[in-house]
Amino acid sequence: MAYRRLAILGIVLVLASPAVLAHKLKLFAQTEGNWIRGRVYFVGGSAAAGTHIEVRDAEGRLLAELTPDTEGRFGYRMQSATTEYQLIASTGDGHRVAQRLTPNPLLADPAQTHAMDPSETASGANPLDPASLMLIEQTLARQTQPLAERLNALEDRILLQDILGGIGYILGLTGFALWWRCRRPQS
Amino acid sequence: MRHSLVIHLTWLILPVALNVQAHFQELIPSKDIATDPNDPELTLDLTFTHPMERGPAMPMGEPVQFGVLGPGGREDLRESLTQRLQDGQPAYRARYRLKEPGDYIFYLEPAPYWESGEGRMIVHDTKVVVDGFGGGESWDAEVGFPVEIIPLTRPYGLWTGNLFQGLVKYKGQPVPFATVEVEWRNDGSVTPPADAFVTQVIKTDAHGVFAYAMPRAGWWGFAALVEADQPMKNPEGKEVPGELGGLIWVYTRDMK
Repeated sequence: MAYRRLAILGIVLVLASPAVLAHKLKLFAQTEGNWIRGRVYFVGGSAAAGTHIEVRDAEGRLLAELTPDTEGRFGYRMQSATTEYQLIASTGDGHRVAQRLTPNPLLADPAQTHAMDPSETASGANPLDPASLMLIEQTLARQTQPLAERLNALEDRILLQDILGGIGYILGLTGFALWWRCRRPQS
Repeated sequence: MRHSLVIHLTWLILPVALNVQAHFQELIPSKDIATDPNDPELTLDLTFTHPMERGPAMPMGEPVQFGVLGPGGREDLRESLTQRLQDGQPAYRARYRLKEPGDYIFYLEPAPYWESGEGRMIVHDTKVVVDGFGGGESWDAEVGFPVEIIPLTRPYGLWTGNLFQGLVKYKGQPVPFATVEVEWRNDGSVTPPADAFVTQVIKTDAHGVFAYAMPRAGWWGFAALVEADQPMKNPEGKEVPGELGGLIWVYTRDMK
């Protein structure tokens, strides 16, 4: 009887342990407008809700401590758009993961630009105000993106035209040379 | 003189004629696994071609459907498509930014293609799964294609030599003994010794399941082919048989 219990316990442990091992903590954060938004989760996607997150600057100074919601999501409002951020997530049982984040206006979500606090955009009386600068950069990036894509598409097309043009040159020059050769003995 | 011209033309046409069988709709992302949250941008190339023979590509019409089934639900991405040329033929490219961790199933329903050589219309519904930062377990979610391969092996994080298993469904039902064509997307390093090596052919078992061990690193395309039960209209409006394909692309890496 005791053996059977031990065997069952063994089976339960064997079944349970691979799942625990596969639970590697992951951190995903991106900048959206002047916010850092992200999620802490285990490989496979399940939320790591009981995680503690530290936000530090490039020098390692602690800026904030965050607690994610039940889905593992968190948000942090950036103080300045130029600093590099360090995010460190840890669980009580020793799982730890870090991510460096350099706010890049090119990657910012365009939808967030509209959602920005109106009082901030209104304070753009000074043209060098970082918030309005970021807004300008985001708008520019958003508007030049289709242009860049079209340029890429055009490059492919130009390549084909170049090849055709090259063939044309070869044919033309060969033709000219042949004509020249044919014409010489007569003159 | 005329005789040699005919011979030359025959040589020109012959390889084209041999290519007729293995059309593959490609849907190739710039990466199959995204690991760096600071680099969430993807490029997807859509090409209708012969992957093992590295072309020639066939013209793609404007896709009927192009989208992604991701952690945020279903998203129509037709707006993001830009046309480009592949071997002088229209093909497409799209950019996409992964917004959160999860599995992203990109899917494409191309415009039906009239294959005059075979006298039939071809529709290859194609998908590819991208692992977004290790955050997903929904890689076997169904897009809802008429013909679809449901992967039984997780379609990313595969080593060279791994066995890939899938279930072929037509209108939601498993298809026993369906033909599945397999091609490796040749990077130029392999010259197939015979036509039989260009496209490898397997069949599903009585339950609609197939398996294939992938012998080389790179992109592998699996095309489950089913004869359409309804005739389709060719560009001249004539009713012709239709070939419905359900494709999935997977990427293998050498274990080193």
